Amino acid sequence: MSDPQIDPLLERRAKRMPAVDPAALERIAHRVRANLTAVRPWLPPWLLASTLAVGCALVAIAGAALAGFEGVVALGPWRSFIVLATLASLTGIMARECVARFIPGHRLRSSAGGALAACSVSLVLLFTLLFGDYHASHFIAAGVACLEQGVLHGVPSGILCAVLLRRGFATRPVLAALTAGALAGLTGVLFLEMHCTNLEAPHLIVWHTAVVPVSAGLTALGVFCAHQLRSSISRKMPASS
Amino acid sequence: MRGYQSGCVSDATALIRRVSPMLHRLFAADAASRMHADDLLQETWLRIHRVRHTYRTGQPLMPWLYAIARHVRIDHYRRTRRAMDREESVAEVPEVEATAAEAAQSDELDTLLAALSPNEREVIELLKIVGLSLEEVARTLSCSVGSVKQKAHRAYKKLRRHLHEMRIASSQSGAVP
Repeated sequence: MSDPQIDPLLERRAKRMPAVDPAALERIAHRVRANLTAVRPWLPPWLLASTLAVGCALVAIAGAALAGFEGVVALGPWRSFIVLATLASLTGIMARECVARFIPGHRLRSSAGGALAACSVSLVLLFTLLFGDYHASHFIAAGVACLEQGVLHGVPSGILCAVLLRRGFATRPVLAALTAGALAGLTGVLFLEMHCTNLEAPHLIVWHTAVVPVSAGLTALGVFCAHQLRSSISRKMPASS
Repeated sequence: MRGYQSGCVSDATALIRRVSPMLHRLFAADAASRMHADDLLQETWLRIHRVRHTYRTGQPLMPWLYAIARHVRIDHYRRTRRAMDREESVAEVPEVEATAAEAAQSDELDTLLAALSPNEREVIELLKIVGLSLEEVARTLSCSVGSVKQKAHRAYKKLRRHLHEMRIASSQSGAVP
């Protein structure tokens, strides 16, 4: 990326950058030295991602253990294996993306929206390929119940995420929340596949898949509102002091 | 950085002295944050200090630092915008010492950069003024290398067009007495 006319202008700007004020530099060094203590580096990203993925799977299994494993019985061994293995893989990938969002300057393999879209499309493809019953009995009533249960089972995963990644620093908190919400949504889908006995393709494609974007959207919205609230409080602080 | 994490005073001081000019360049590169570059640098170091445990030994340091600095700069933009919304007029415009030629060139570049979208401007500043590599810029901006290349390509296209238009306009105004 270069241009014979533009590059000289940019190079001149780069050369003419003002120097740092030595007094400011000394002030910074003094402030940092004043409360300098040893810190324990954060856990390796792979370990955090693995813990997160296993934790999410355990939340889904615990939920299904309480509600019943009727879904696994209805699916049969082969379909259970394919569905659960795919969901486990997606959970692992999303957990890695989620951890990466909490480490500044970490390499990201996709954008938050891209990861969410890829995850949703994978679920749609999985359900379309594996299920051929296109009847839709009690489409809305059964669907809303599943969506609600799926999103609610994602809440413990979201809490687990917040606890595990509390020492992290998300430079883009809303996008980090979107990824964390998608991960929590996958936990909800995992629970639904183990519990829900409705194997109609439209139900699975629409309502089970919807758990992921709905969960992601709600988490991102919550974080966005929290940010707005915090900034409005900080705006009022100088006036009241 | 490892010494800084383990609480070594001399390592922390050495890191601050070595890295600060580069971080300062990021703030000074943009017209919107230039006036507050020293304050923003100090704020960045406070934030770096608070999250220093998130740095992993063996990972590139510069994208980690610039990602935090960029976050501080975005916070500053938002604060400034809110303050500007509240205020009715600007109190004083500070004077900057510069020769007429330098000022003209600076104005020309600022006008050119102003034509870009904030994302494109940021990519050009990081690549050409701060001097990061494509991979480092991608890590700093939390996006892919392909996306950085695409933004840089678009930015160059716009800059070329605007430079051409500016040169034509200046030659025409020079020709008319």
